[in-house]
Amino acid sequence: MKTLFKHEFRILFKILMIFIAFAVGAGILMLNVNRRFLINCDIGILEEPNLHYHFYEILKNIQFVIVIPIMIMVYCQFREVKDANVSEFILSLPFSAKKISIVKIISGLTILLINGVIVAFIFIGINTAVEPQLMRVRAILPVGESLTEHYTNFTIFSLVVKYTMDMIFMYLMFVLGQFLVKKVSHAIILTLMGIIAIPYIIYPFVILYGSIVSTKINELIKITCLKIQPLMVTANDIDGSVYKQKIYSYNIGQADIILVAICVIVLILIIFLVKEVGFVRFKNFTCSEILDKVLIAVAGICSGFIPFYYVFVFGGRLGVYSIIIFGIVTGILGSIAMSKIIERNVEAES
Amino acid sequence: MAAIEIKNATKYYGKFKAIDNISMKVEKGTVHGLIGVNGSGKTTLIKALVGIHELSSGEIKVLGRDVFDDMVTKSKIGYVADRNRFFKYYKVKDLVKFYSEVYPKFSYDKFNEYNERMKILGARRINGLSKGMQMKLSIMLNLARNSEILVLDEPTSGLDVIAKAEVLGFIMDEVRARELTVLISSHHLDELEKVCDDMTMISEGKMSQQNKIDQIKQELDKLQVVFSHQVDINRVRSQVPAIDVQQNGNVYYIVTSDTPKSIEQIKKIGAFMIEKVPISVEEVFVYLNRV
Repeated sequence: MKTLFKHEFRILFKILMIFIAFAVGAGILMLNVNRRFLINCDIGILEEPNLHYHFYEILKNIQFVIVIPIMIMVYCQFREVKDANVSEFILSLPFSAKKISIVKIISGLTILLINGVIVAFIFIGINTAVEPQLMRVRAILPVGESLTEHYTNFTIFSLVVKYTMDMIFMYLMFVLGQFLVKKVSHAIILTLMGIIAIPYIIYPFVILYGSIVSTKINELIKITCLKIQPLMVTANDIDGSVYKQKIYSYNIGQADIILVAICVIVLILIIFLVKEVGFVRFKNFTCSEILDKVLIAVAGICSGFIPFYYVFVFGGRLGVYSIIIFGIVTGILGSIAMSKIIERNVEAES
Repeated sequence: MAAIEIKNATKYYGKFKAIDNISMKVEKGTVHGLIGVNGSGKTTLIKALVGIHELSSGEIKVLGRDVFDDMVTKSKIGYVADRNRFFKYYKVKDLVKFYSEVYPKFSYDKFNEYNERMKILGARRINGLSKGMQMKLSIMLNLARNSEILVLDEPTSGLDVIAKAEVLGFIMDEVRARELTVLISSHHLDELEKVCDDMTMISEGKMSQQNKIDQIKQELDKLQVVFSHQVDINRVRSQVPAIDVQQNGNVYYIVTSDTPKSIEQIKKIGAFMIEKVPISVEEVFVYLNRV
């Protein structure tokens, strides 16, 4: 197994460098914020830098971009064993599909953890380094005590844990996709489209049913994405003035426990599929004929929403009935297109 | 217990049946040839045997155990593919190290001994090696692994004449030294004839023959005939129950599966010399496929 790990990290060395670069990049952005704060302190401007808000903003923005290196990582890991010519050599080695998969997953997760650890070190390091200056600023702020209470190294740690767990969830979803769809690149594209399909399908209901739906959506989004609902703290002055401050503090809670549970379920599903289809036992476009049909149906449903987006996002003009009729037409066309793609791929393989 | 036992092996790729109900045995310490035309199913059978693919039905047992996804069995099988697809970005020395880590019985001494003849530099990248050099490397690695079974798919393809002789020599030395069981598929039947104890012939995914070399050669007879007078070759072809008739001047070469009847007819036509000449396995294979 040691040999497999060595080989895996050989493949993923450049990817590891990319993830380290992302982490260091996040650190550099924070150092810039920190530098401005310290410069201000030096010249006597005591302004709360709201470091935690910047920590959150940076990680929130990174998590959308970091999908790309995660996709590349999964592609590099599974191309070798599924599509490339070298797969026959690997499959002739005395390793089971389960062992190979476990090594790949552990390697991938390790890289994501390294990214998280570096971010945590940098962020906590910055926060700790400027603590004296932060105390000076907060001593004169009405809401200073609340800021000190909510902005701690532990909340930074919680934020980074959440960020790392989100990456782990995304990675596991792309790995799961590899055992659901035969070809590596198809699996990655379809997994990505599957992830985008969820908000894509839900958005029309948000438009139609407004806040009831959007509240529920927000709660679901918080499980898999880094999203902080700012807390408003107030402080009352002796003369009756009220001071308010938005606090962007993150604490590990129910959403994180649910996310961990989801990741465990995804892992169990992956292990199950490794036993069922492994890397080479795909008889269809996906791991089963039923899933092929589900894919065709989902393609139809997603295509059916095109007229809605044409009107509500791109400003097109269609009446309600026209939206429905065109929706049915695009839905049917979408299903046919997907079934043709599946048919062609299955024929090409046989 | 046979070293390799294949029972009713069938493999589909989609709707296409690549191998159909093949059963064969390879005894321990023997060299077994697997022959067939292009697309007959040899490589499919071999890939199922070494655990790359799973059969659609039937079973394959190596040393009494299933192969597919079985680490213990796979660790006992050395595999030299028809086109060796190693990690392209590795250097030769990296691949040797990889093998030594994966296979505990790997012998650096043995590998170096072979490489003194093959002369492949350790610092060279795998993707910089020619097809023939990659084949040599694969054979050396798998021999140095000290596996119990060695499966070779077209091992001499891409090799020059000298390398072919050396490689086959290495394999035979291993067979003699430690009762290595070898399954070798090749189009070069003349080479197989020299090294194999027995052979299996596959045609259109089905097994057409499995026998010892000597017995395969007895399937057909080749007769050298001289007639006492000028005979039209078409007359010979129509009257003699032969698979093939060729003429070279006054000498006729007749290949037949029914020798007594053929000789009877040849005598009726008027032959004054009928002699049985040696027939090679390659000729037997070619003629049997024609029938």
